[in-house]
Amino acid sequence: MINTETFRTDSLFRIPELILFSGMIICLSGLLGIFIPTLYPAACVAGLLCGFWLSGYAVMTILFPYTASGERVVTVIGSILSSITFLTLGALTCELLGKEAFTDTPVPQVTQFFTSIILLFSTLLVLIALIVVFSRSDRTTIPEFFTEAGAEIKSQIPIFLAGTAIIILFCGSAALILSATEPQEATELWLLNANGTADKYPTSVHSGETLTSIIGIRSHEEGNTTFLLTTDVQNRTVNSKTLELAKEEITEFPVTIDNIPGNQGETVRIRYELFKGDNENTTPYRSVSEGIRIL
Amino acid sequence: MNDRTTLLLCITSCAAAVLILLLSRAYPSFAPISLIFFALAAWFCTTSQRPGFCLVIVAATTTLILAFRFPYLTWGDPWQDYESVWEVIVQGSTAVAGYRLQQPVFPVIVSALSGFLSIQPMLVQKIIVPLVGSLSVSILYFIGREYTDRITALTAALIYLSSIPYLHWASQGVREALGIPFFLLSIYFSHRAVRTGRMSDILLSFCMITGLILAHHQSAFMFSVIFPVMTLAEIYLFKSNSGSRREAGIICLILGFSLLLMLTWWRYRLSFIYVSFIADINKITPFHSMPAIVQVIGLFLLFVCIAYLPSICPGVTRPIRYLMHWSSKQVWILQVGGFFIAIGGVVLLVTSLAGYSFLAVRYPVPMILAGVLILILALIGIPEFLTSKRFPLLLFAAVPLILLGIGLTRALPGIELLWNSQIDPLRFLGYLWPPVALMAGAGIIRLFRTERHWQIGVTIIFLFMLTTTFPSIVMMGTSFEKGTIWYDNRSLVISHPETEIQAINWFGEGKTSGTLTSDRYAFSPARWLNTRNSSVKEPIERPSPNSRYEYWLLTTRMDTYANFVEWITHIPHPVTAGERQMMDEHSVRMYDNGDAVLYKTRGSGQN
Repeated sequence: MINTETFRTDSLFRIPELILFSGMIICLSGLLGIFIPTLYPAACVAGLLCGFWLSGYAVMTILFPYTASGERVVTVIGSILSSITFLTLGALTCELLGKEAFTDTPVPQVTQFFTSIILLFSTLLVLIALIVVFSRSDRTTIPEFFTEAGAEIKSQIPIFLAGTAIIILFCGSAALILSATEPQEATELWLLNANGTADKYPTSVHSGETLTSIIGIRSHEEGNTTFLLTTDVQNRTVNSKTLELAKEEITEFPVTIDNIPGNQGETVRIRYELFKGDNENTTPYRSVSEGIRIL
Repeated sequence: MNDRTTLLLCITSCAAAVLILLLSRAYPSFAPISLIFFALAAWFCTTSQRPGFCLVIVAATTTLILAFRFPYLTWGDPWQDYESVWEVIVQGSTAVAGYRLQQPVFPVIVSALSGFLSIQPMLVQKIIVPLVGSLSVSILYFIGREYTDRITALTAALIYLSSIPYLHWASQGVREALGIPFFLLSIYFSHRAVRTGRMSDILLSFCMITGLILAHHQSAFMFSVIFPVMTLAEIYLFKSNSGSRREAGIICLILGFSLLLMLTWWRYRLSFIYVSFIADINKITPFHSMPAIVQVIGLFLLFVCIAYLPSICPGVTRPIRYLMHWSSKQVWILQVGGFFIAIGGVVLLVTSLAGYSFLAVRYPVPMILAGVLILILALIGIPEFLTSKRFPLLLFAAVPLILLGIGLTRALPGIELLWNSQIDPLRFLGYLWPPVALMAGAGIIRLFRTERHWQIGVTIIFLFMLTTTFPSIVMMGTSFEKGTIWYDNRSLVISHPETEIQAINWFGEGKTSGTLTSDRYAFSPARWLNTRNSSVKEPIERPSPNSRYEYWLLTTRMDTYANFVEWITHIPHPVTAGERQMMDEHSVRMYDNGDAVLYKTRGSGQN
């Protein structure tokens, strides 16, 4: 029977059948979700609850019957860690059977097979736990629990409301701060070969030949920004281009240098410098470069 | 103030601390204000009559400090585990072919949560893994309550959750964060099984040990050393000889199970650890000609004989018990001896590594002071642990302490499993700290006799510990000038700037072909690209146009602090102006975002 002196409504673990019955419903709806594609989100929710709580809780109910409120910590932590162990063993079972547990197309997902294993295993454990619970003679029944809990539940209402208010306020403020403090990305400048890859850059040309490279820019500046791109060969500007890019806009375009100067055997340094605004008399904002040997 | 109001105030303080930490991402100077709210939360914990839930909230919030403070994973180790998550997701299973680390609990829970919730694995790793790690605090509180009393347990839990051996790992979202709660609960259930003798407790300990072995190899090894020594010593010191037969049987059963499972797993899945283990066994035992596994079985049988000896030959425990009785009357010997051992340990830590004092250079003075403070408090608290009920906790501390001592003094040179105690003691201290925190808790209670003094004392110590746990950039918002007491070069590398991640993402877009490298700190966030058709390798040379690697990533931070070929025990050398100029002039400078620059070298691709 209930000891009213130590009774607390937060000791829901005193009536494990309530948690186990709810768990059984979740398991069954999850298994239904495996077979009916439209109900698959239910399988995900059930897989989550079973994989991280229910299977372990069923084992803890069988092996570590809740007797004192101090043991609540061990019951909760033991349930989580046991569930994690079973989840891992489930993944190893998938591997043993030659089935995939996860897929990455298009985003990471748990396969239906793995979800089924988790749900079937949890259902079995919950069933055993229910049998064990109902065979215990000293258990607290659900009606007894709620009869005793009535007065205490009323006294919990103000703190529950205050807690909810804090959580809502916290989530709102956190979302606001996160959106205001998003990491600032920087404008990028890159250099590719004529095929548009960052591999096998030309290393040599004959004097007077033409060289084509591809320049890419991704703007992360606020609003529309004007950039000036200059092409320098041996510190002499041979080409310049002004462009205006919106925030997050990407552009890639070929830059051609005709009649590359230089003597045979000499290495010519070609720099592509990006200036913010249209004034090239300032320090380059970004720069890329390559060295070409004259044949 | 009733308990519910206290709980609400504790939650509010933690929520305020979190909001300030989030704000400090953009305005770092705000970060110190969060310390005030953490101190308030700790204060409310101490004023509560039922502090369990307050403790859960404070522990959860502190383990998430790095997650709230920085937008990406921190340090280097979490990125290695992030890589393993992608290995498992891309391969679809935990098979050895695609997943090298073979400690599957971590990637399985991150991948499963990511899949079920449809969120990015990195977010799960940053938030959920530290939360699971924070369960260690509640386990310690529960163990403390069972073996000592509520006040000692609460004090110990607050010290533990703010101290570096726990928080450094728990806050990162790495395998260690999962290993420690499994380790503590395995110790708890196994010890409980020995005490009660119930089959249900034995089965629960088996369940936890299975999770522990699959979660983290070093935690499993530490369990298989600490548990038998701790329980065996209890038999020899306290148990009646007639009743010790059953207890010896349970100890042997649990140890046998853990050794069998651990070695089987290592043999077939974690072969590089198994090879190290066998090599270690060959170095320790004199029977080199025998197969190592026979030696392990021999050692286990020897242990079984020792465990059963008191029940067969009762007289064997008498001299040990006499010594125990005598030493419990001469506590000062333990305290003075312990003090000198502690000081000796610190000196060894500082001087043991030739050429470069790892502790002195890498760890700033305030952090060392925090550790010394806890050791002194633990020594003050030792007399409270010389009872039969509390003594197991002293034994719990003794085993990792002895292993640490053996490692530092190199009494057994070349033992791979003690490697961490020599190179990175922080990895080893995580197993020593739970009982040390309990002893320090008892020490604080001896020092602060009245409740109000105790509350003030605990809050101040908590605040000091929390401030010194992380590099100053985290809680102080600044890295301080070189030469000042708070300067810590770890401040420069704990977080990864947006520009570094941008350059890595650009590299991963598929335009490149070849191997990327960088210094050890920028290399870490790039390593998960290994599973995405690109190749990323650890640096084994300094940046040069003639490098064997095709691509180099250099950032402006590397002009101040960088680590290429030097390992963590050597003085790092930043990128020189000459090296930068050579790269600029003799390789293709192909990407620039103002901070991070990617170079294409002539790279031979041989690595």
